[in-house]
Amino acid sequence: MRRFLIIVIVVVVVVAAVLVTMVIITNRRISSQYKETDALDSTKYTLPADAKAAQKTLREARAALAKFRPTGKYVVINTHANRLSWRSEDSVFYTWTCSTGTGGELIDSVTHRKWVFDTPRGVFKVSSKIKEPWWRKPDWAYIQEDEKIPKNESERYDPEMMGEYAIGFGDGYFIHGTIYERLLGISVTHGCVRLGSEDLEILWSLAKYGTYVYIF
Amino acid sequence: MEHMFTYFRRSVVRTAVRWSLIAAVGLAAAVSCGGKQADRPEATPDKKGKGKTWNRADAEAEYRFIQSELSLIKSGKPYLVLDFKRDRLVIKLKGATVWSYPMAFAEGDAGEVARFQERYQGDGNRLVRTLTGKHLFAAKGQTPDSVLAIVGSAVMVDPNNLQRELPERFQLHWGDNLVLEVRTDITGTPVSRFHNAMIEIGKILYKPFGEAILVVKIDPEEGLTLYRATPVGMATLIYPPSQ
Repeated sequence: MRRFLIIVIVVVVVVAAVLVTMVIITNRRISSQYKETDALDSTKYTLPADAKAAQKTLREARAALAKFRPTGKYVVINTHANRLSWRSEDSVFYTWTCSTGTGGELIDSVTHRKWVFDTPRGVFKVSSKIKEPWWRKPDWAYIQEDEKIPKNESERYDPEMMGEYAIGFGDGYFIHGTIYERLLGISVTHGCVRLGSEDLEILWSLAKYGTYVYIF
Repeated sequence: MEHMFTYFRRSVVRTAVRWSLIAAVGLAAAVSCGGKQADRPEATPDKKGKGKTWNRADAEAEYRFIQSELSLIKSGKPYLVLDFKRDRLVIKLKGATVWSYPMAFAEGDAGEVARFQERYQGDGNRLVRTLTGKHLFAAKGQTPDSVLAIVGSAVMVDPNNLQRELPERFQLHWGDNLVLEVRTDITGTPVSRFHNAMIEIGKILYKPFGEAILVVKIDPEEGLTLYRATPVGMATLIYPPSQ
């Protein structure tokens, strides 16, 4: 009986030890997927000892930060949830479903040219506004479809694909309409941002040249 | 006459000595107080603060916060702000708010929130930390697989890469046992029952050693953004800074 009890106790202790070890390993693995660096040490920032100099330094710092806060309304494109918002710093006025880049890659087997179909992230400005835009099909559109690239430039143009309006935010990227409205909400584009026709019309009327476009 | 001059001279000397003594005592007092000036709050009006009294500790905290945010702006990457003043989770890019959602605490009390803030900033008043880990407990597909299969073949992309999963529950870790647990009201499929169980047991085991877990409720769509937009390694800023 006594021996049996000892065996039971030993087994329980071993099982508990194994379990605790597994728990510690799992938790440590999850909470340390990234090693924190000391690069962002906020304790190094101190004001000058003199009160007047300190007030001046603080005022300058406030002004420096205020420069980055948008004063007007701006466009935010949320590539994670495929949402486009028209907002200010404190309020959201419109949020629409859009489609952003797939993130996929295409490599031309003949020329080995490579394309990444991703929507760029960062801060941009509205740089062009085009009514009834025509899409000039780039090379990748033909390669993807296994079609021959036309030699005649006029064969590349498609008047339907981009919808009624196109709002450019630089480097050939546009917020535009689509003939595939049922796919809005899914990341299906080659990098541009597709929006439903009614929503695009509202955005067209709101966004001016120079309006900030934040993409994250 | 001579007596009068003597009297005059004496009174002048006496007055001069008296004033010199007062000045010396005053100077000594000023010098002795000057050494402790840094410890006392400076009560001078702040020009920009519209009549607000200048408080050295508040100013130092605000300055630390501003400089920390400026350094994050400089990085050009999105950063997360835990705004406990307005109880909001905010994602910012180059100083502009790009996403924001109220922090509705599902569990715990104000004490838990204060513990989290205190632990986050620690003794060194740290305002910026980086996300050291993330764990998704369960999620549910946002788009039906049949739709994704058609779309995937049309755009020549793996349908799995097109799926954006609405999270049921996930955790963000900042090290030092600082955890933000985010829950939505949908029911998803567990990502790993084993890891989920290990974390649940760990929660109980670590609690006595000082873990700070905040549990917030969030809309599933917003949860999707928060989950996907906060990669491990992302910088996080806490507000308000403690003095």
